[in-house]
Amino acid sequence: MPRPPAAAPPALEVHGLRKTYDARSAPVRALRGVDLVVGTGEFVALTGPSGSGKSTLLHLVAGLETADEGTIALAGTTLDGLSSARLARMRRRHIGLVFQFFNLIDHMTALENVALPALVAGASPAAATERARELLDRLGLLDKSGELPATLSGGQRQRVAIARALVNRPTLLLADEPTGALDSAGTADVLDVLARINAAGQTILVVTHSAEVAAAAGRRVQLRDGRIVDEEAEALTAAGPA
Amino acid sequence: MTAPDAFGWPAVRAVARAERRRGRGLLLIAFLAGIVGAVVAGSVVLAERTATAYPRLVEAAGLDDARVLVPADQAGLAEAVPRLPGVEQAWTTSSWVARMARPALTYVTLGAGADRPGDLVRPVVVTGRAPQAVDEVLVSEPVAERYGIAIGDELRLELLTLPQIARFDVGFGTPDGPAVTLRVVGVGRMPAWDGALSHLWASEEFARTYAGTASAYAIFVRTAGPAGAQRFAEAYSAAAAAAPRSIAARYMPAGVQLPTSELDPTVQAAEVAIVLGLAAFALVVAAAGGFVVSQGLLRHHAAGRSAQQIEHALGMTMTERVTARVLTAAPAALLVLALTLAGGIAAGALAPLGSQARFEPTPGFRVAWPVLGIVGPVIALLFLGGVAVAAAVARHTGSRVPPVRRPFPMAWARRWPALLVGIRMALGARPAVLTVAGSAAAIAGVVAAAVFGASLERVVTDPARFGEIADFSVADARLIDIERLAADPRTTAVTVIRSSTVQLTGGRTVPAVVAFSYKGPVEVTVTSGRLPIRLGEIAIGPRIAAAEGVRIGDTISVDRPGGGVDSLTVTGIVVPPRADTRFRLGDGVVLAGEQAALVTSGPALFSAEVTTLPGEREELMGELSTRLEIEPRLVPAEIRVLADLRSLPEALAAALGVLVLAAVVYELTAARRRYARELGVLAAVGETLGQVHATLAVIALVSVGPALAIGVPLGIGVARVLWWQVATASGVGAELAVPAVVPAVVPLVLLVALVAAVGPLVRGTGVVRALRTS
Ligand SMILES: Nc1ncnc2c1ncn2[C@@H]1O[C@H](COP(=O)(O)OP(=O)(O)O)[C@@H](O)[C@H]1O
Ligand SMILES: [Mg+2]
Repeated sequence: MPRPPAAAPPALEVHGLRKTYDARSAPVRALRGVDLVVGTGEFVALTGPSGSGKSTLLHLVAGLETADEGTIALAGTTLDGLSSARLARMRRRHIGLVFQFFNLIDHMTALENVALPALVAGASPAAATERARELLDRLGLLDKSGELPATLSGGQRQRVAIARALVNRPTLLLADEPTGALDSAGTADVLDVLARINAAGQTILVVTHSAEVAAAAGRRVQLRDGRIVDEEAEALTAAGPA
Repeated sequence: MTAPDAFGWPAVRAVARAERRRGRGLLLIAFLAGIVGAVVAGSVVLAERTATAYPRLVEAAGLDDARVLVPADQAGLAEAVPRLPGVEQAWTTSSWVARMARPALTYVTLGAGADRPGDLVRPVVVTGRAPQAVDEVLVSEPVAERYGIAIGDELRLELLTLPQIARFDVGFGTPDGPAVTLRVVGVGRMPAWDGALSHLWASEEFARTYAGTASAYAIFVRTAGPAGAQRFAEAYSAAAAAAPRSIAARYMPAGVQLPTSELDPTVQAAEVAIVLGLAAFALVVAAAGGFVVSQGLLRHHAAGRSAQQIEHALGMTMTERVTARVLTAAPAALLVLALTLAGGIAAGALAPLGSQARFEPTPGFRVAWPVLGIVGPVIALLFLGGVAVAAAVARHTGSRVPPVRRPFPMAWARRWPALLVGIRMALGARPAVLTVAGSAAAIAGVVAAAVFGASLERVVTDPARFGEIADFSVADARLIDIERLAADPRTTAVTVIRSSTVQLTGGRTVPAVVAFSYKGPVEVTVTSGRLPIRLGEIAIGPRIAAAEGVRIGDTISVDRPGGGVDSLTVTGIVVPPRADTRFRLGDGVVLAGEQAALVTSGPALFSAEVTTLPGEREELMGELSTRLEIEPRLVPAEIRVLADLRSLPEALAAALGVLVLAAVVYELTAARRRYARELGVLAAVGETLGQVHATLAVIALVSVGPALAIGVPLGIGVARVLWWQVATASGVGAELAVPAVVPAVVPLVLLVALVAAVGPLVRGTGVVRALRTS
């Protein structure tokens, strides 16, 4: 292995990733050879026009879908050839997912939503609840623990969703346009939370259209037509209208 | 070109095209609606056939309005008949009495006539053909069955002369009329064979050849309505009274028979019961099916709510939006029509139900096309109407309003996330109370119909249930006969029944029976409790139990004929054997001998109820019938009516069962789609596919579990109430028979629910796609 044994492996390492969807009309080449490394503790913003493959990349990394070609390694463990059950277990250990439309379970309280991944991962109910409470407290939502998602504002829901993504202390937090459905106050809330948890050491890969979010990230990567364009060029186009 | 307020056809067509793409769901609902339509149409076709069997046979057979049998020595009277008032048409035929050597020596009537006017009295030929040659004969269905006569058989008939008939009771030697051998070429069906209409019917050729030897004229008359028949009857009676007396008057009464008014009342009762039963069946299936289908349609269109909101925003009126959807539903409505028609046509192969089958003039395939021509389109239009209503209300039905009320904590379920999430989703998703109530009602319907059907079946097929335990009974049995029967090795049980009456204090006089066993067990049907064995005890029939409101352990008072009242304790509910058929089934009481001696009155009749070893019945009955009056085991009219109905509850259970399963499958398949996003979330937070399926399984169990828990006992309860009504009305015991399918309902419904919910494996990409589109 090229990497010296002393150095800890990066949180995410992606090489030559390709993914083609068989759409009804013609095959869609969503990813055409993506290489990306996200170091532990990094906060990376992934930008790019709609349809460029950002969500596809996130889903492949989360092990929710499988790539046609290429390799993905989470904290040095490759996802290659894992069964769907093993992928689910990898996901529990290494991945926290945040979506644009929150995707909370409507019939469960904020606390239960946050505790759910811990329960799925096999934590005892007491430990899961304890950890969920602690996270809600950190995100300023402890008083909302018993509420159902429908009674919370957009920003509050997204913070609950972030808490849920963090409950298993994942290697990597993946967020797909987390502010896309929020007003400016909500966006500011979420941005503040992301910055705080990154400062506390959480590695983050966030897909975003928002210049604010991109600016808060330590590094920006742009996808275009299923390929990473180099970060110089990305810096230039980010200023212009995209 | 189009005015701003004109109907927007282009938009309607565009929307219809778009809707067609979602068409598969609609076709599934249409298939369900079509199955319901098929069952309803089939019931209607069968009900029509059953209800019209008798009138159609009357029509097809050209049944006469009146008939008379005029002895051959009253030729003048016979000649006068066609000219009597009220007569529109008359056919004078010849009639003989014949001795037939088969199976034993029996006497049968033979008829034949030439020059039939129109279609007056033409038996419907069920098998074979009508007789043509002089040596051919048609046999009535009842006689063919009774004597086992088939087409191709040769019947040797010795015809009696009128003087011989006149001496019938004192003996007349061998028949003096011609001896003929007739070949059976057909079996015929008539609404009424009796009286002047002979059970054997020969050809016109025969009538011409042998007319001179006939012993009587059988004259069939068509009259101008019932009033005409009445006028004819009066005129004939007068003419007959005026005519010279016949030498055979004793054997040929001078009355007029009016066959159209002589339908057996129990048959009529059965017909009404069957048609009402079928109607109830069709209504229940239609109601349950309508409920399921309308739920499906509402859900289908609620899913297209956002499309309608966009169309609304673009300026389409509600009429236009609904029209587009109704147009899209046209192929689905055609499917409903096709299935409904297919159901009706398939039912055309079924014979009329129950006792009415023997009146069917056209056995085999028959469909009332005009009826089906109405039922089919009506059901298809109802479906389209349902589509229109569901489309019209869709924009305002929020099928996915997220819950805001805090759920139960369910801390116990936290250890199993699939259980916790599944229960929460299944209970929180929709007005759960309504769905559970609806499913519980449907399951209760299945169970009630099945239990009721099994109870009915048991009564009808088990003679002991309607008080007939023995193989036959010997009426007016003398002690010597009874002792001989008890000693006969071919009998297994001989019970003597002493029948008289007892006066209930302040109530009716009811039959009272004492049963003594001479051999084997006492042959009285005990439905609960036991028979009375000592003074002060009584067992009562279900009818009395129901009428007097008494149960086992209660007391009932009876009068002593000489004054005084005995208070008797009820030891059991029994079906008293009937020595006297004037009393209805289940009426009467059973007493111990000493008690009977104190309270019964009137002449006592004795009969012996005899049970034989298997296979010995016929021989023993044949032997005894030469000396004693033997009554074979007979099915009471009350039970025959029930027997005619027995297929209905079973068919209802089956039809409702199919509907319940279809609804469960539809509901849970829809649930899989409805919860797609949540399932995606579960995968995203690390659940394996197996755990996702476990959640679906929990949803399935929680969705149908309460309905089963309520529906099964409720159904048994409903069956108990219904059966109690029917059983007491018929006089049989009211205990339920719970068929094996009832305990099987629970695992079956759960299994179907599980398979439907978990379904074809949810693939990872399917789960993830839901996450992308939320
Ligand atoms: N399940 C799928 N089937 C077919 N095509 C898909 C599927 N998912 C995504 N695509 C296509 O892949 C391309 C990339 O999609 P996506 O990764 O969602 O882009 P982005 O998130 O950057 O907007 C798009 O053209 C999209 O239409
Ligand atoms: Mg995307």
